[in-house]
Amino acid sequence: MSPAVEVRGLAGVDYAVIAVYFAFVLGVGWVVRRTVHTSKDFFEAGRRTPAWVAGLAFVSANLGAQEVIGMGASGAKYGIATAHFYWVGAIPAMVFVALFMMPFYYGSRARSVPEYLRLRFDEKTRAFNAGSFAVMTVFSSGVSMYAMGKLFNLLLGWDMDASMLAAAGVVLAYTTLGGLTSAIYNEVLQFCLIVAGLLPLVILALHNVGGWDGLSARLAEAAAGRGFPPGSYTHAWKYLGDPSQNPVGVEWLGLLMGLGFVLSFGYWCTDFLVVQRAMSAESPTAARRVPLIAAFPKMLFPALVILPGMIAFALTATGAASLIPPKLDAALQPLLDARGLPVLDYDLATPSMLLHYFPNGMLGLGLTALLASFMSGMAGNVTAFNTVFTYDLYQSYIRPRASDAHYLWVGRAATIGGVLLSIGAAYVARSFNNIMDVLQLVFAFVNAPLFATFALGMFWRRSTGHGAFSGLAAGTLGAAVHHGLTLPAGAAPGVKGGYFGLLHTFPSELAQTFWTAITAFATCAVVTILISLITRPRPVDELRGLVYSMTPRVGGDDYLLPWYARPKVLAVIVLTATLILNIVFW
Amino acid sequence: MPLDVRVPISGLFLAVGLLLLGYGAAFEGLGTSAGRLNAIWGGLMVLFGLVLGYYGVRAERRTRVGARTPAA
Repeated sequence: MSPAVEVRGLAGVDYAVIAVYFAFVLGVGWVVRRTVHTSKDFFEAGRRTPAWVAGLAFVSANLGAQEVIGMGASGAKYGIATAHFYWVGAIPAMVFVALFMMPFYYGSRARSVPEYLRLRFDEKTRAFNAGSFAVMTVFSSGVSMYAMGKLFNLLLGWDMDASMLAAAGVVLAYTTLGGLTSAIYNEVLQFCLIVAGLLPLVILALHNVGGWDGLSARLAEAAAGRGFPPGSYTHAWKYLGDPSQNPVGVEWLGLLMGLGFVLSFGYWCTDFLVVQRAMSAESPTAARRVPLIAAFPKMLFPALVILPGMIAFALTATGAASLIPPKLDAALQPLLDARGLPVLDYDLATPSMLLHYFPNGMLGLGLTALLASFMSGMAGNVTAFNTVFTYDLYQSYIRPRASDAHYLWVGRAATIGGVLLSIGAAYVARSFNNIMDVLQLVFAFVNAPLFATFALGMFWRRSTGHGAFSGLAAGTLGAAVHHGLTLPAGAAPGVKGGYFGLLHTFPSELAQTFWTAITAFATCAVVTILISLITRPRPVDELRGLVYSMTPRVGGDDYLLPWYARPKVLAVIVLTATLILNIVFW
Repeated sequence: MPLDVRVPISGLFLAVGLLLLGYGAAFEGLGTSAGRLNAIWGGLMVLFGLVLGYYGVRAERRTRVGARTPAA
């Protein structure tokens, strides 16, 4: 705990707001539990979710603490360039998954992403993906838990371990009771609450710093003090020609390939956590609309989650307020970077803003919004974990022919196991000064090679199971080798890389992660192609509905829908609006 | 779906909104910026809760009526 942060007590009204929220969340789980009778109800929400509900759950499952606190931290650390996670990364990938991948996922009737891999390739490819995905969800959930423990510790002075366990207990209760349906209901509820809690913070803070112009002026001063051009924190593209000219430390090619292509497409197209929400939709057309509906709020999230971090940094760096405390060493002295500037604890940017701007009452609401983000992210990971564990590991390799009631029981037990493992992962996340960075690193190891496997599997029918498995293994190994031979500037060898030696130093952790992802993707693609060419492909007839060229085009009857419900129309609107945002913040 | 999701969201917004509105108006006082902020935002949450609740309950009723009506 940093002594630079003032621990602020909550008033009765703040506790009342939190208590009301807990009551509703648990109440939803209690009501929904009556509809959970089979494993399909528990793991797939019965495939009867309306598109708009699944769409909000789709975006909310991703709106965990790592999004709210992590994007705030990245906004403070990297400025408006963090919006690339949305406008270059998420939105194009969400459009792609809606138009091109949902027909495969929904149409194949696979119950999970690893199961699709079994249908398309073979058993060992499914096992590899199921195992790595299980590890990744546990890590993601752990990051969410750590973020929330840190928040409780900051705001209330509570013991971090006790607060993590308390919050995890509530998530455990409602996901165990109502499974995916309960998680989806609460994700929609939490989405609304997160917006209600953060929107007034953005309005107040932006007004306080003199609007966008006032913020730009403060950030220009901060940039000059760090050796960057004045607009480097407020322009998304202008300074990406040279990595030394922007706080991210990456050039446009690394950004486009690493984030825009590999990491984002890898996450949104193959991560079962989000795909599971779309697969719960009531029809194939609804499933295609789910990511597009989610894209509308998603493109506006930078205003909600990145701006608070930018404002906190602007006020801290210009000395107007001390909102982001420095990290401390063992002697409780501020850690300094290579330029002699204090290493800031960016994860505290958004929580500090809540303390700074909100009076009691509103503080309870803001705190509840952060709680909601934590719970929604954690529940998303836990429900994805229990499905993959039960269907793709337990049912496949441990007890293949048990009763449905048994699998329902295993799903609930896996929920408890997933939460316990997440608690362990939370302690690993402590060694990073930006939780978004650790998460992106995990994605680089797991999702980046997986996206190459999917892309080749769906669009190249010659790709084989041996090729896919070898490619996945080689891609993950490639990520480890790249990470093990490089380090971000100022970091010591260890969990941040450099454990095999040091060949290259990147300007930031994010730049290192982008290139780790590119390495993993390229290695997986090359190895998959080479091994596929020397192994026997599956008969073409077995690939119907699994490969693009062997699947009947869907959407032929879209013209019967009103224009605003047609997936292609929605996609054009989403992409146009995103392009405009890129231009406005160029 | 077991219930229209707008119903619990509406309930949550009404409950939290009323808490903020009441606290801002009665305890902090509308003469203070903290009181005004709580009251205004609480009021907006109540309004949102009412609108959402109206549509949620209406959809619930239609679903129930539909479920009771025998298929033609």
